[in-house]
Amino acid sequence: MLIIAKKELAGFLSNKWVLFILAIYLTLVLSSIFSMRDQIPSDGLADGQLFSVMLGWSKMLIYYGAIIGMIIGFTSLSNEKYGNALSTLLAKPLYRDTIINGKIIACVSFLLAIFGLTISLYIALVLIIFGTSSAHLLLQVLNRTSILFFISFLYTMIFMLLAMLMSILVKRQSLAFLLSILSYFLTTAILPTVSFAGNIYNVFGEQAYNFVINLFPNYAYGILVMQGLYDPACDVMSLLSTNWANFLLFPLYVVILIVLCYVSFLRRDV
Amino acid sequence: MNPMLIVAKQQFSDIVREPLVIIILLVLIILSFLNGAASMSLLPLSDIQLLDGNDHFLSVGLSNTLYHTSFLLTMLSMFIGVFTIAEERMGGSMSVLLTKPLYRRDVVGGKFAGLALFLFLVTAMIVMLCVSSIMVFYRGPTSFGEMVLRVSSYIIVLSLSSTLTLGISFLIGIFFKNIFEILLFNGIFLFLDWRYTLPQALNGLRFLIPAGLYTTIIDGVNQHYILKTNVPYDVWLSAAMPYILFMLFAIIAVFLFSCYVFNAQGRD
Repeated sequence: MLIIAKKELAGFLSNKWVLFILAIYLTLVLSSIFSMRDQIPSDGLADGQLFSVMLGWSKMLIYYGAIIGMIIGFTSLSNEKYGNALSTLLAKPLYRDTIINGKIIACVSFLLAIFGLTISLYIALVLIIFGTSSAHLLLQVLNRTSILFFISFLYTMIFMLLAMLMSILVKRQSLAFLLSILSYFLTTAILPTVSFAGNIYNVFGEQAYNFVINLFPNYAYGILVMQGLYDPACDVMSLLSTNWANFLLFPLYVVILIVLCYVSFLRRDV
Repeated sequence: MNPMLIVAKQQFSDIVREPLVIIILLVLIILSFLNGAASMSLLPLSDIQLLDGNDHFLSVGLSNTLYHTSFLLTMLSMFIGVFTIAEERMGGSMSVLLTKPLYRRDVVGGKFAGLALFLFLVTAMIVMLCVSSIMVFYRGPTSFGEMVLRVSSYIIVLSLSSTLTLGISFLIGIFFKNIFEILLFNGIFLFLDWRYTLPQALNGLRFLIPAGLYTTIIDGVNQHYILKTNVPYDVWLSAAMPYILFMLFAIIAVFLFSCYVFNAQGRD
């Protein structure tokens, strides 16, 4: 399993297009820091705002990271599946679950490495830009980092696993990729907005709206933010215990998608 | 029959059967009906609370459908671009087509014309569905003539925007030789086009990005939004016209460049 994971990781690192996407991603993250700097008022930021800026990397991971996750998830299966290397691998004396485990481990490790790099770069740049005015918040920021990292990582994993699932289920490579893109945009930009959820409220009432809107990870994340995820005065434990349903949505989707990936990979003729 | 027309006709009938096209159309139809049903409770409230001189049939009812309709139709145009050029090249059916007595420009031109027509018809159908479902569930517009003028302009601008995306997708499909690269670049293009916000200093250049150009036309210049009836139609049109012409120019330029690259590949 570890051999497969290692080979998969080497595959990511030698894939020029994956590296190209990463370069674009890091450019977007870094450019967002500089455009944020341009919007800072001349009298500086209050502690609460600065705290939120210092944790801005998690918003970047959620906003851009999901696309990276999707591309990683898709790449891990599609290149081998459509180049017939997967059939050769399946002919070896290996259990199918060993292969899928190896692939998931490789994707997760690769994403962890990218996210680690993003966070270090982001915090380093924020410290350079804001200098000593941000130093006294550093400890508080580090305290909040683990929970924010956990949420953004799970969020990204949802889309990574979704892309893997599509690659397993759909025979045509382009259809699998485009379906992943469609699902991403539908679940993040169309269904939780006025176009669908808002209209559900107007037609079917509040109960139906609550049921629908609570299905979307974007909304769950929005609620956690609204309740003080980026507020230095907020106690994280009480925030999570009050909004446990929103918080649990992330691991729940990840578990469901992992199970679906396993079942479909083990049972389907890939 | 003109060979380009034959290719266009064939392309039109092929794309209608694509499962992803059917899925997007179904989503659009559901969202349009839902918006119509929602306008039954939303528009009477708007009529009471928003005393802004607008016809809320357009400025609220139809406006609510603008984002998802525009976005999904852009996605649809990108997807059909991938299915047409990229898949046919990788699957080998393009090579078969090129052995027929056809110029390469007829192949690209015919496919592009067929798909542009398909996009125009789909755009018109979906926008008309949005309009008619609001009419069925609530009421008609205050001025029918004004509505026809603005809705037809909206349909034209939206189908032009979709055609531009189709052209870019064609170009990506012709330029790259590997399906993975084509998918990747189309995905990046779609994401950056619709989800990336330019830094404030570069905001004046947003019309250089297809989605930015589209929103500049729809929003007009100086807040002359196409569906706001408190600004006369000709004020919107005169503000938006330079950008509409620019969009037309961009479509022609992208199409000609695609033809050039496709022909150049034939010579190699």
